[in-house]
Amino acid sequence: MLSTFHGVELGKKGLNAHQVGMDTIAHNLGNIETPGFSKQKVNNTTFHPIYEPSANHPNQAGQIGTGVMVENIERVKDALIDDQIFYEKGGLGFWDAKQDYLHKIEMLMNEPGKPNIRTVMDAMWEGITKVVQDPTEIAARFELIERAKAVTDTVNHVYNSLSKLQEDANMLIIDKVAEINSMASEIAKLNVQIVKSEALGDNPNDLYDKRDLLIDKLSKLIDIKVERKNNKEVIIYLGSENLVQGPIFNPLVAKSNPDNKGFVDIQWEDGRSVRLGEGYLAGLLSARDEDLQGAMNNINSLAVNLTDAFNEVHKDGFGLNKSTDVNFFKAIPLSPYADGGYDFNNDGVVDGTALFKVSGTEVLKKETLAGTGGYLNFGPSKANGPDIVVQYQPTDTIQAVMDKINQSEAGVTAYLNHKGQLSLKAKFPSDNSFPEFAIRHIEDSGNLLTGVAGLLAGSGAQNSFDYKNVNGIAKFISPANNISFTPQTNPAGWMAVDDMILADPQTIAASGGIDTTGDGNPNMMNGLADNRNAMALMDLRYAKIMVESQSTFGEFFQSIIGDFGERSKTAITNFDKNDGVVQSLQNLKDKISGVNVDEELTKMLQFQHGYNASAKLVTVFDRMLETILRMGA
Amino acid sequence: MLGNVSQVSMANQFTFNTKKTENELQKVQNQLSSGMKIALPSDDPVSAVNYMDYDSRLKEIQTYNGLIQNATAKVDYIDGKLGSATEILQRLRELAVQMANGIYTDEVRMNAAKEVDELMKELVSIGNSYYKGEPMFGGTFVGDVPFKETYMTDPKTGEEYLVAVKYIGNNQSQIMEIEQNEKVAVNHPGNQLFWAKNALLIPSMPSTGYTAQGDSKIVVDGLEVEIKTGDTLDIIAKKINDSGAAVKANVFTQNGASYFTLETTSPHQLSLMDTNGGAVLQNLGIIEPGTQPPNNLAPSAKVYSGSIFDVLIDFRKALVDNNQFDIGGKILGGIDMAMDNVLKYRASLGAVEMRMQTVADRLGNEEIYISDIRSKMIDTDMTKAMIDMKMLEFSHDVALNLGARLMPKTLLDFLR
Repeated sequence: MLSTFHGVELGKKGLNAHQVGMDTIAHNLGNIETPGFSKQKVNNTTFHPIYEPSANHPNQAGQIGTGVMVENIERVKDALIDDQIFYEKGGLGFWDAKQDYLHKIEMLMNEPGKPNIRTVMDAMWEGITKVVQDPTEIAARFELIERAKAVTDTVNHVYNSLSKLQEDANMLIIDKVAEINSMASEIAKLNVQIVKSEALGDNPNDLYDKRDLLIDKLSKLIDIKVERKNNKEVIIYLGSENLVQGPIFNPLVAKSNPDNKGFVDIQWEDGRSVRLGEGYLAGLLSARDEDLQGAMNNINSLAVNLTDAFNEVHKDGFGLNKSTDVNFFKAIPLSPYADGGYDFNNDGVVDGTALFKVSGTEVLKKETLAGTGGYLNFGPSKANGPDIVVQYQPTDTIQAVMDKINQSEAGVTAYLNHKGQLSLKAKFPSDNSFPEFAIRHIEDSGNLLTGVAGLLAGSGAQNSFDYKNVNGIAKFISPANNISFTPQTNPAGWMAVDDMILADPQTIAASGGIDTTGDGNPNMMNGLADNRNAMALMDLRYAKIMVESQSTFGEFFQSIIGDFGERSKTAITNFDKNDGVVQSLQNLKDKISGVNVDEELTKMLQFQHGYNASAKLVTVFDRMLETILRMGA
Repeated sequence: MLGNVSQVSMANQFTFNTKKTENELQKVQNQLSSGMKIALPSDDPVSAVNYMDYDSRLKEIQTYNGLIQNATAKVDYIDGKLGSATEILQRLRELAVQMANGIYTDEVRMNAAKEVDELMKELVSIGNSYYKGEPMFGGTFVGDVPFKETYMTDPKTGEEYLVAVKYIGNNQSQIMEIEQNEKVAVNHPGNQLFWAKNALLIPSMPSTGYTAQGDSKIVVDGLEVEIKTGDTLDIIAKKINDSGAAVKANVFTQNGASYFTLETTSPHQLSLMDTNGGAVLQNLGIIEPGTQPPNNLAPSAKVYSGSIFDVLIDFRKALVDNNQFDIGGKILGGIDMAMDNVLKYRASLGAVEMRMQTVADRLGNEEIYISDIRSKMIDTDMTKAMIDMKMLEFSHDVALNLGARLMPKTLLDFLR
């Protein structure tokens, strides 16, 4: 026999269930704008039907349904799409950071069309031609000084701006690491709360949403993978390490690296480095260490080579006031000593020689035959690497030997200077190691650098120059004028016109001279109206002595612009592509988990009707009971 | 389409697309207002690099045009002066021919001598002419006028006449660069232009059995000749002859003594120097230690050289001494040689001017061509840009319009 109030109970259950339904819909509609919100859906199921098969089964047709029950409230979500979004956002974050900084670098370079390094250099070449036309005209000299100052000012400015950008990027990296750590710790706390709630059998949907939102933000910053198999311990992997494991999180540390100007490296707490993959943080690191550093290295290289090439020619000439051996651009050597000695490992004791360029004393032509065989040893090109050895035959021309050297990985470039002397100039070290612009090793087993070029005093390893030897310049027979020392770090930052030139424009050496003493340094002036040295300066415009790429200054600058233009274009293209992909994935996600007002309102109508029906049921059963109760009166 | 479309995703998609269109619009607007197709190298790296190339080359061409104009003006000026000099030499030649034939009285001869003197002073003043405030014909020496005159007063008439003209300039030509790696000489020093005779230098002492003591260099007319230890006179002579200077070295032996002589092959003043710490020429008795060229020849050496002024001074003297033989002989010959010399240099300067003109024409054409290409690289195609902008504006309008109309509508508007 059924209970009297069975029907009312059924109605009550119906009211309950539909009430929950309405509440959930209200919740959905209220949170239509909330970021990271997934719409929630009520799952109804039938309550236990009666009667169970047992000894006291009433003699009546069964089983009878007992109404509706809310089984659970769950989020409508597709985890697969979420994982895809996390993955793609990593790429988006990376190219976002790269694109931002590459754009800033491009704006600094200021091409095309606006005053930039190239245009001020063109103006300086023009200023030199004015001095070539009228070597005795003081006005032309003043103008040349102004234009040279414009070049150095522009180089300084570009370099300093790049340097500042680098520091800004570093600060941003430190900030982002703090942000990542705070988000990871939040996720760990949420994990604890969620596990507690799940233990009671509930679906903490809103907590799930909060956690997913944090993971989403995290995925743009770093390349993460979520492991959900074990409910009690949701793991977030970074690289192959756990960033968050259930309630525990491993913080990242931004450790300052003294070998990299004090800029930070990303490590785990125990000192191991983090495999960042893609993401905004990785993009920042790449922009700071590759793009910005690359641009700064290029500008430094331009400054060093321009300064050195100019000074080399200028020192040979004579000014209107008969001065000679004057530098045109300031040359501040790294070493405080006259022999180039420097303390490389910072222990207070001079332990090597910092040399930038050395020229031989003999005048050679490109077609001259080497006349002697042997091999040149330039030391290893990277730490613990093999020595770079260049072999030469007696039948090789000087040009062929220079080509061999330039095409090898030796840390020097070879060329014939304006007097036809063989010169070896240090390149920027390919592994970015210190010291920059310093020749590592010069050794000749034969007679080329000793007798033919007049550079080294002797052959073999015992007469070789090595930067780790103190007083290394004693191994050269080149006079002091043919030796240039390594400039102080970041030459682009302090490049300037020499003080003696600024003090008196007559010191500009337009006039050529003759060497009467045989030491390679001209000491007798040709004449006041001579313009040969000024013309030699003008010829530097076409000299292919830009070390890194065997090109002229103009071509080198063009290649920098082309390089950064390409990089920036790639970054923008990749960013747009990733943006589009993420956008369409977001759309997919929204299709599944997003709140559609029409759908909710339709469901609301359903629940409304259901509620009304249940309420009506209760009323009807109430009337029925009343009828029975009134039966006795 | 699977699933349903939520309001939020509709809004997101709308924002995403309008953002893209607005970006495009901004780009085109930038192109139109700045006139440049490329705002940053990343827009089109290849065109940007090409533009830089053409722009720099254009500036270079303009610089060279300026240089060529300047050089042409100088060469014209020099040609004018040489033209005047030629006229004077013409007159002197006529005078020489006249005075070499026929008997003349003292008075006539004295008048002729005076005319020669006046014409010579005129020539000296041409040799000392200025250009832009500096003496033209001293090579690269501009401290003073290159031709120094020495006068003497005639006791009978009290007038001054020239007895010596010394050249104190140097022997460097002036060079100008008119295109990449193309240099031309636009001026020659006075000791080449105003010379008449080949120089001959014979040291007074013999240098039998001389060998060079060490490695050094000698400079002959600006060309370097390397001397190695142990070089004998013959080898030194051969090196000088092979060096390409207009000088011939000779070793002639007389009575067992060898003399090292030097002779120019075209009229100009010999310029010799020891460098690199050597003293070969000093040891051979050719130059005086401690002096600079071109006036550093050893006073003990016998030097037969002749500037035009030397010839004319001899002319005047011959007239005064009534030495008709000399006038018709070596003086007439000297004047002829001088005229030939000047003509030779005028011709070479004319050739230089023609060459510069050719280069200027070539640069002019290149300028037009490169301006054109540069403009194609970087200038906005106005027509295309305007059309793009119109299209973008239109699609932007449509998108905004539709968005405004469709987005706000939901079921709510239709429920009671």
